[in-house]
Amino acid sequence: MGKRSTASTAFGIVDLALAVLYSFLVLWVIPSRSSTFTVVALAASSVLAGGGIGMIVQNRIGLVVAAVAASAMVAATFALILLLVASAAYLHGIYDGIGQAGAALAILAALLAIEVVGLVPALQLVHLWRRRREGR
Amino acid sequence: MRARGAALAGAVLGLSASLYLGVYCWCHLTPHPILDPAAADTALRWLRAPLDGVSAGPLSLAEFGAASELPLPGPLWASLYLRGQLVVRHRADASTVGEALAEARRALQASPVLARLDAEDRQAARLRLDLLTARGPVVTGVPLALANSFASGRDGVGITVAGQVAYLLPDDLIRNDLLAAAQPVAFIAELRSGLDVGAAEQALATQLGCAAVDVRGAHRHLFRFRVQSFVDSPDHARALPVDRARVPVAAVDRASVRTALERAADYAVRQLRWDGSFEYMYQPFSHQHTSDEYSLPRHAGTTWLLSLAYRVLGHARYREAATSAIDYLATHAVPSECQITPFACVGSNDDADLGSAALTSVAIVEYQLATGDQRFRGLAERLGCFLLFMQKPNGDFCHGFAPSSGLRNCAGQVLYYSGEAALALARLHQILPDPTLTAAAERALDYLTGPNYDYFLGQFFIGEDHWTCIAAEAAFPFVNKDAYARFCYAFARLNRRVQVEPDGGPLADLAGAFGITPFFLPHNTPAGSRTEANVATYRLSVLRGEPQPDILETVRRSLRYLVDQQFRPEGMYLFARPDQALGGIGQTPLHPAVRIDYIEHTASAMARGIDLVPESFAPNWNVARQHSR
Repeated sequence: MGKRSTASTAFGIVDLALAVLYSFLVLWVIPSRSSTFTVVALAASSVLAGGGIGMIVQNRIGLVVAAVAASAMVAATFALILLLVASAAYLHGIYDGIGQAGAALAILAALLAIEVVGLVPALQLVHLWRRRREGR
Repeated sequence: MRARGAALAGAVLGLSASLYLGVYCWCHLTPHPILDPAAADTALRWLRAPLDGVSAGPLSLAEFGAASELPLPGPLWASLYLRGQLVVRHRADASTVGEALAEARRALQASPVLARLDAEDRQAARLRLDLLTARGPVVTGVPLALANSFASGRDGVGITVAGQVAYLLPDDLIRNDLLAAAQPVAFIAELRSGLDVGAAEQALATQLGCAAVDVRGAHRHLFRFRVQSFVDSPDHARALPVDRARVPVAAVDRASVRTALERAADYAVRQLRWDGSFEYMYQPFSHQHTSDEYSLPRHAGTTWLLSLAYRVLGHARYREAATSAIDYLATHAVPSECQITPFACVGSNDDADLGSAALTSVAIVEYQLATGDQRFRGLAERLGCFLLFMQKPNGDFCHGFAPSSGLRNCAGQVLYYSGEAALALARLHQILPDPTLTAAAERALDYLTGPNYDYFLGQFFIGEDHWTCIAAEAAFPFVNKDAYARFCYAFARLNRRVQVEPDGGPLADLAGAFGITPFFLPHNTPAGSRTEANVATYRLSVLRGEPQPDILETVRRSLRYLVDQQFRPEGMYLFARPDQALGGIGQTPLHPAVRIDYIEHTASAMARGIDLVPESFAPNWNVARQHSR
């Protein structure tokens, strides 16, 4: 699988840090009354942590796990954005409009979703793709 | 690669747009009014006939016209309210308006409750007519989404359980305080929005005669619905449209604002107790007063209103009430430790504060200017000394004072206090021509409009600075600075940006209020306080020779809103004692509890802005359109 990469290790550490951060946020800072939300958020944190460990270990299985985890997080970002779109449409339908603040919050939430959930996994996928290409 | 990227972006955008459209069409309601005002008049008069002991024949098609044959998309409800209590309700599930009305009238006629009402009760009873105009699905699987699936005050909640349908009308949700009751964020107890789903389920179960658990089991059959609603006028001569349990006011003129001010001031007079203090809170649904956590600044502010009302309307009862309320402050609220010092404070021996002293000063100045009575001048002078003592070198103020130790507490800052003190210093000058006071007022205004916002985020927002702008206008005779005007114009512009527009979509009936989203209905007190500030800012602009028409328009829109929100004789059918609630203004359009400061701010805005309202006002909006929603 080639030599160890410092960048991969850095991605792994960032993944682990984000996984800890998400868990901390979900469990202590913004606890939800909905257990579904908590379970999904913790599952995403676990996936991220799994990918992080894979990036640090950097063996074949580890990198595959990391690629799958990053892909899952990117897919989750798309799903999150679609959920935001559906929620905005629902509130628009119910309230005949969502107001300036509602529109601003929806856009902000979508941007945050991309930045917080999707950005690192997307960069990680690009890194893994380049590493694989260079390894050939 | 580029083509693939463009295709992916297109697919994502297309999917998002389709999803948005699909969800919107699935849940959006398009209600159409069923009865026009004339048909509603006829329908209510005809329904009321058994109540008035008038013999009425079958519904006359000639009188009712084609409305009788109109198809109904859902039930029709006839509800009779007596002093806020629902005494009779009949739901008619007929296919046409005529059939439903006939069924409802038969039910009213046969009602044993109706038979027991005496003549006085029958006269006091108000009949309400609701016709379902549309119904639609809601998301039931996500608690937060479900709680926020009902437009506040407009939507009713319905459910189908084992073939039976139960409905909670918008009025039922308001009366039982089920709206703005859910807590969307677990750790912010103060943030409440949406339906109290558990309580609504319980009410639906009661209606169906089953257990709440059965209703919970049929959760996915919950739905929302809209109604077209009318209530008969207090003299029972007309049908009045109802929106969010309120009979809306489409437009105001100077006479209607004057009437509203008189009603509000009379409400304040009715809250005055034997010792000169006020009944602090009033719950119109239950006719209950509470006075926990009595606030002296709010007492003083309400006293100021009474003097303002006396100056504008000239009724002796306001002068008497103001005298009594200031007397209360002088005899009960100036602690013994502050009676032997050169300055007077307001509070207790352990804790006195800046805001109470400032607003007491403002109330006394207004009282003396309105009545010519100088009996409280000495107290005002000593309060002025206190304000000077509390001022810091930078122009700001210490907000707390412990009379027992004589020490100022400059650590904590209370919202509003510095602005109130600036206003007090500026107003005191009107009865105590002392250059020390004017210099202090100028220093305070310099601080509030300058260094107070001298930090990074301060460049992006303005807080609740209505007192500052009222003070800037009051100070104009002795200090006129561009900085004050610029600050207050910016505050007014900010207000304008968040003011609900007449064509403001779902909130159009609340045009003139200040709010930014339909999820949280606007509060009425800020509408009052910001209007007080906007009135002052507009007057300041006129005094400076640069009148701001936008601010004037903001003021006029707000005054319409405030008159609309006031408890007027034509509404109040949900209240236990309409005669006691008359003139009050609730916390929000759906939460009618009245605290004295709600009246203070909203009625002060009316008193100060009345001459900015044209004698005859033709607004460019029409809220009548909204009644059928």
